[in-house]
Amino acid sequence: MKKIFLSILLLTLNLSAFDTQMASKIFDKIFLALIDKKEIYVYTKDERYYEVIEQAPHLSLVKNSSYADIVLVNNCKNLSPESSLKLFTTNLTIYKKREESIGIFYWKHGRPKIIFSKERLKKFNIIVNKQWQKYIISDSKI
Amino acid sequence: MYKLLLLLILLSSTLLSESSESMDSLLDDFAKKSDFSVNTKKDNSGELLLYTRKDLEDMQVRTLNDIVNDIPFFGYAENNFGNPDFFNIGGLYSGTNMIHLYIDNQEISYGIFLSAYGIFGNIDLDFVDHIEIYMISPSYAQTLNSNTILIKLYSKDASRDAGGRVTLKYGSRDTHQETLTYSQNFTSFNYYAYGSHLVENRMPYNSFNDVELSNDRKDIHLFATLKTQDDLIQINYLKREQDAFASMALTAIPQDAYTQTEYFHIGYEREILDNLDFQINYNSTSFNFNHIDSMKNAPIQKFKNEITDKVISAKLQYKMNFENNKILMGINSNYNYFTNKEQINNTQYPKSDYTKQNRTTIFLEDEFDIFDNTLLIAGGKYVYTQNNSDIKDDNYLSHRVGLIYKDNSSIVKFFHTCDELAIFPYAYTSNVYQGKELYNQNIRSSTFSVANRDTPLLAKLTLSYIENTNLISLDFTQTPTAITSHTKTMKDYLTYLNINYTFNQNHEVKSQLAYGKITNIYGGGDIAIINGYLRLFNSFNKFKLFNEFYLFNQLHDAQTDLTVSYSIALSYEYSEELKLSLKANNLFYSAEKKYLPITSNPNNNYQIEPLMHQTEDRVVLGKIEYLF
Repeated sequence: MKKIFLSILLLTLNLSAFDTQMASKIFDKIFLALIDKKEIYVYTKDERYYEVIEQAPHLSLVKNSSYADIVLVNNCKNLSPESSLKLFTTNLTIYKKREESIGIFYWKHGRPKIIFSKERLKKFNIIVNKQWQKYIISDSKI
Repeated sequence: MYKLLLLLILLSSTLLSESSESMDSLLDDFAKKSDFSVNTKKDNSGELLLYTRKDLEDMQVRTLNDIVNDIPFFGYAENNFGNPDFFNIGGLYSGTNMIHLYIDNQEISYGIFLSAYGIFGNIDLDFVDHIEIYMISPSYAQTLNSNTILIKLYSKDASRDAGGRVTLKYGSRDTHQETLTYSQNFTSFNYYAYGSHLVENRMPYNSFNDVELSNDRKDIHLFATLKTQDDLIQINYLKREQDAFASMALTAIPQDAYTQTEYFHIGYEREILDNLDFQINYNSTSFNFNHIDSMKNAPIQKFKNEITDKVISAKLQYKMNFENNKILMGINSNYNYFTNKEQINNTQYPKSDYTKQNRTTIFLEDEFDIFDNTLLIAGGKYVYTQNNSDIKDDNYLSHRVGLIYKDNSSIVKFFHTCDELAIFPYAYTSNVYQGKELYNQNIRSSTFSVANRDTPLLAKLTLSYIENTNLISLDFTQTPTAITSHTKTMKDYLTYLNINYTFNQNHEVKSQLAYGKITNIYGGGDIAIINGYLRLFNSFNKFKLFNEFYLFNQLHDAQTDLTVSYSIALSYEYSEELKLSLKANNLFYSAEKKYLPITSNPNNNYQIEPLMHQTEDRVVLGKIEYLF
């Protein structure tokens, strides 16, 4: 079972060659676009993302998900039961399965890709800036 | 002059461009810094030329020979049969046993020649993520073969390339290629599958009396990987039909000459325990060659050759860290079964009963941190070779030492290697073996390099000295032509300088300039060559532009043969799913001319007269790529 979880871990954003500094910049920008706050509280169970969040200038890690503005999930193992919290994921399976996933950052065709769900942004009343419009894609097109 | 003007315009556009801080540019930067090559390249392994996925895409590299051409001094050469040949000094796959190919960590084996470079040296590359070329025998972690050159092709990975991809290429002389890729991730495994159909119609080349020689080929290439957390299965299949160019025709005018090759590889890797890796591979090659000479009284008027080759290899490798040491040790066994049937003028050449060569290698290598920033590398391997028939068994030792100094701004490396290469079995099984004693080839090398590690300017200077004794080649001074060990030590003096400058993520310049001299080359005499390239990479919104100037200058007897070839590639990303590209290779048909070494002029009393030809064709090719 442990191996399966590890596999999922590796098959998502592929951390085997991962630039933490760049990832921090990207998550910082994504979460600032999604959450209208200057300091955003992020909850994640994945230790590999601790450093990513800590290096991001506008993001802070919280130990309890109830204080979080957004939850970062990258594998099924770290997935909490369904809740009203906003999820952001790096795993396409989670993105497809979980309605709370408002966006995804993952690799497709050898390129890193960001998607914000049109329907779920609406559900959470999230309005993103004009510059992010091109990343908004309807669930039917995924 | 217009080329210079073009160059200045391109350089100006590069200098004047500005960087963008958009999310797209951040993603591009993230892709670059998270490139798989960052993970696989091992600076400590040896001297390395690296081609990232971005490089390969921007350059629109189609086949491996485009990259091999960059190897300082040596470049890419083809023999009389139109096949990749490292040295191209006549007839045989000369020096091919010194250049080895891997896909990921599995060797593409062809035991009878000890290397599959002659088959895969011009393979299509759409399944490849990035390429590493190691100069001179690198770490045993990379290969246990004794190499002058090691080429590692790293395949695309489903974890990053999920989805489908179709590409259609069409261009000069009806050359076309169709590829289909599909890969998928599941909870506990992923797979990547690739198929390619290639029809490569080469530029016809005029032999004596203006007879056109053909080197066209048709390839069907399939490649697949299946991965779990601990296991990896790789499958590679190639079927090729090819015209044999000048073939073995004395006058370089064959009446009919073609080859058929079928290659299959399956390999399995598993991490048994932490730090303990196991690998087993099976390779099978079948090769058929038919030749009819146009000269009715040629000594070999008809020739048929049928080679079958099977290699089973198994490797166990253990890594451990002990105080300041990183130790690598293991054992590798290769079991090679082959047959080589030759028919000359309808008479079966006495079949050799030499059909088996097994090689067992044990190896040990240590990377020892002697000071902060300073690493000492020492390794040795023992190879035991067993042969059947009356070919004697053999054993030998090889070793390598290295000293590496690294700080934040620079890296200085020194390597000394001493290698012995087993005689490739073909040498004993061919009709050109006349019973003359053959000797194991010896390669000694010393390499020093210094490089800075600061961006945006990356510069590296490499100096190499290589001694090569007992290179196996054909001796045309004997009648009949005999295979022989060239006992005179060839001495190679190589130096090359790489300078890359990154203006920003959209504009980059890469260059290489190499000077090399080989003394005592087979056939006598020395040869000196200057070669190199200047490459400009530019992106303008959805357009990508690549320009290349490739320089070659052979220096002999106070004469110079300077050639400069020019290639250009343009791509346009119409949408995320659709990309259109166009590449013109060797646009002015002005590349380096290489020679076919053993040809006789029928109009001049059959005097030996090497024919000169460009191995790099002029090709204009359009490509449509659709992702789904």
